[in-house]
Amino acid sequence: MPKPSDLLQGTLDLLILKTLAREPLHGWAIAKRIQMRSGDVLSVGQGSLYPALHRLEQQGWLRAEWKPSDLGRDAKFYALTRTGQKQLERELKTWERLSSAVRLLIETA
Amino acid sequence: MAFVRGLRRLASYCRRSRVETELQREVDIHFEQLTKQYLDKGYREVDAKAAARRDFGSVGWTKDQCRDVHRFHLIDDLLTDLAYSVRVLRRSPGFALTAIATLTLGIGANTAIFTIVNALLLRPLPFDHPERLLAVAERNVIGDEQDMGVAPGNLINWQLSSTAFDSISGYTTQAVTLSDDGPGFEPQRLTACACSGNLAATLGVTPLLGRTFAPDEDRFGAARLVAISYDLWLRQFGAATDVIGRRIRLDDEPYEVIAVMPPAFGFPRRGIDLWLPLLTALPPAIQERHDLHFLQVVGRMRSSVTHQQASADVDRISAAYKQAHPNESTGKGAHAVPLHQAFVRDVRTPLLVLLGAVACVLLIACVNLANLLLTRAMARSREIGIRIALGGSRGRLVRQLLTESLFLSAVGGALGMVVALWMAQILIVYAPGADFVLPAGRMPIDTSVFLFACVVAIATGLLIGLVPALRSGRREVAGELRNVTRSTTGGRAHSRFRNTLVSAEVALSLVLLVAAGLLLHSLTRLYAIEPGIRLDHGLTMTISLPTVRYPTPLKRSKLFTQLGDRLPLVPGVTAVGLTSCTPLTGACNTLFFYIEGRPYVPGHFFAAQERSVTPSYFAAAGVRLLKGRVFNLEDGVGFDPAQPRTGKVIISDVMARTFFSDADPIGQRIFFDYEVQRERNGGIGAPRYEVIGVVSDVLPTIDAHIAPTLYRPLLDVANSGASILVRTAVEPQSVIPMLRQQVHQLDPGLVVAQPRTLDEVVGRSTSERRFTLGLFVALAALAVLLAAIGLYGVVSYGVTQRTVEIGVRIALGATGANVSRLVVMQGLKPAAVGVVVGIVSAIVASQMLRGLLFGVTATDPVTFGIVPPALLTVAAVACYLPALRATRLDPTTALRAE
Repeated sequence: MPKPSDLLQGTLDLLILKTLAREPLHGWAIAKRIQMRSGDVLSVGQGSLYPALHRLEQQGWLRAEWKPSDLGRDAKFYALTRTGQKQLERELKTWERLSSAVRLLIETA
Repeated sequence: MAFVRGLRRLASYCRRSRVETELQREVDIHFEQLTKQYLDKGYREVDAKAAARRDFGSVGWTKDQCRDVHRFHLIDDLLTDLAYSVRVLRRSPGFALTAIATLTLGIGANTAIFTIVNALLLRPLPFDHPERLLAVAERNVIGDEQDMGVAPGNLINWQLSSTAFDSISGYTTQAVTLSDDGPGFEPQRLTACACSGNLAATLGVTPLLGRTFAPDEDRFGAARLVAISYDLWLRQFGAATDVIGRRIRLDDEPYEVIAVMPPAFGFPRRGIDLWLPLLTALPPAIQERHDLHFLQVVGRMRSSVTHQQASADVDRISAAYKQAHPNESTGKGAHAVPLHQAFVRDVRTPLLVLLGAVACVLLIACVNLANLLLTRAMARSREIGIRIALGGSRGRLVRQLLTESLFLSAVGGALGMVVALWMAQILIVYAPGADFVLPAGRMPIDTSVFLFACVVAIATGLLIGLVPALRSGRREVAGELRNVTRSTTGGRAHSRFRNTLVSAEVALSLVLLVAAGLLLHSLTRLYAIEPGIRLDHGLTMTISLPTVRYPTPLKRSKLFTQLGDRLPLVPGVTAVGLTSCTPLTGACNTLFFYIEGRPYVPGHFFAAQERSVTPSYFAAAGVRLLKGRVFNLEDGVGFDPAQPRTGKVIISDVMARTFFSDADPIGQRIFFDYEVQRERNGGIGAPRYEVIGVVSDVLPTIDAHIAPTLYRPLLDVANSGASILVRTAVEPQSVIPMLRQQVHQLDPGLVVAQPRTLDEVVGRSTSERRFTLGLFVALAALAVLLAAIGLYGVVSYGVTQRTVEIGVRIALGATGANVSRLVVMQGLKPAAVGVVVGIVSAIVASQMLRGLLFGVTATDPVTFGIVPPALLTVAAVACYLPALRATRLDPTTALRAE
């Protein structure tokens, strides 16, 4: 499969938060969904995903819970907290600003 | 937000094993799913697993990253640093032991002194709501004095009329003899406190056993009751539970024990064994006197009142009485101060000064250790350089070095705590103010002492570690990776800093040395004083005549006469004299008098110290007769109170010069205010006393000023107690048994107590001074030693640093003398600076010592003239030793060494 492009840490946070906006998921499901929803363009490495999940949990933006899953055994489900919701909105705004700035630069070059 | 994050980190740190297992499970699941994905694609199991592992990447690295997120850096780093510090210190045990020993002594000494300061000055008195207890005293009886003893009449007035106090109690201490008819019972002299019945209520204490005095038990003629101390209960009665109701004999009078006081109770000071109601033995005629000032008073204010208001209240009552009775020698007012303040007044300065001194010693020790650590840090510069090169942050490095020094100071602090507790137990017995409201042997150790030790340990650790740590973290350290030992600009800044430290050490030790010198000079001045009586081969003992068997002055006088006749017969005794109280232990009594022939203004009297003596006393004491004659056996007003003869008094030289400066005192007559009072109350005429002689002055105590003194015939006054002064030709202690025997033969029930040589008496009165001096000398010696060691260390290091240079000089023809002069001068420069700074600081600091000095000023030229040169000499010696080493350098080896 095509080599996944490196994702900045901030962007990974945004993706994770957005993915969990709809429903709580476990780590494997998050990775799969990001890959799927991006049309296989973005693939999150395990080495980045789990540290990011743990970090977001420490920040208080995610809440984790061990629940029975569709994998046949209990898995650690991450859910968005209220503060996480707010953080998601902030990150979205930042992303908007950043991407429009980049687009402006590219188009006028 | 960061705080919450920190808390969460702390939480996950505490649950780290659980976090670990969860992490493993998460990773396992993901790995499983990856493997399943490959299996679904048709890979074999082994290949699927291998592919999954490849995809996953480093499991360990992932877990590490996750762990990093959870890490509570502070604790983890701290533990790592601690383990590292211990390893490093184990490698140089000599340094570690020296540092720990120094810190233990320094922190321990400081904590010990602080324990005493805390126990005496900071902690409240051990009574109920001690902040409401006030000491009340009369003022302006004679002149401007603020504190005079209280007369019983005034005490009763205050008790009846005061509105600001819940309860007021008077008390006084006296010696009594405890006796028993039981077999083999040796009569004992104990100290009793005669107190108002409500004293326990005023102080807010309840007895351990029994009950307090009832209000009607504190009156003249009531049954004789006594409360005993816990100590006495243990020693004398074996903690018997049936002691309540037992009868004991005090001064041959039967008393019933009604209470045992709690173990921590000793009022007004340690060593009081008995409490009796004050008024029971005080005849009503005395109870209504306002001019006999022998009581101390303590009162408990009402909670709604401030102590200024309470003071104003008693002042008002006293002033009103004085206005109504202007001729009585009673106070024009009164004033009240918090009881704690009254107790510690004399003790506060010496203790605080001691605390300052011991803090100085700790500072000097810290400076030495800082220098030592600095040297070590520089020796480890390669290691530190490598760490920085490998990416270690400077902050981390500083933290690690600080952890080392904090570890040292923590160990030193813990050991120091133990040392402190041990030292404090010893010091409390001898410390100034030891005779205070602190039960013997029980030092209240509370949390503030531990807190103090912790703060001192942490501060010390930071102090000694900060400088080397900060210097090690600097950028130029990286250059030391190249291990350049020749002196560079960095080296010069370094040595300048060290020299400053050395100067500081020398300055501090000079201050301490000056303080010790001043105290020593004071003590020598004190001992050089002529007290006025001969001290060599002198012995004193006290004797007390129980009122039951010697109820009248005549009977007492007869016994005293017999004593005076018998005692000189003991072999070895050259002279015997009796006096009303032991010489050199303070004023026996103060009497107010008028001089006949001068205009008599009632209420305008003179005061003089009074002492009664037998005719042979002056010769036995070595007091010279300057004019007139001494007493003979007929002198005195006689024993018929209705027909008093003209009495006789002898006055001291200073009294003659103060009151009879224009005329010959011999033949002049005086009369006493208390007898004028008695005349006013009861009718007996106040007798006149003719001055028959003038004698040389005697100091009340060794460090007091000369005061006018008058003497009356003891055989005439014949109080129930006396002090026997014996002059011997042999060793004074050796005649004590035979003297006791003589007394015993006269009357077996008489107790001879406190046999002491006159030197011992003086020694006792200077014991606190000598204790303070001893401590200061020890501290100063320690300080000088530490400063000398520090100086030696710095100069020695300088020699090592300049090995090459010195080698060159020697090779170029410098003599040993040149080299040693170079080295010594290098070390003496900071020492000299330190001495100069020290002199200035000492001049300022010694102002605090003024209250402790005797006969010397705070800027005593003798002390300031001797100490600085002495310290410079010590400094020179400390510099000379490394200089010797420098002169012995072989130039070829020196030049090769790098």
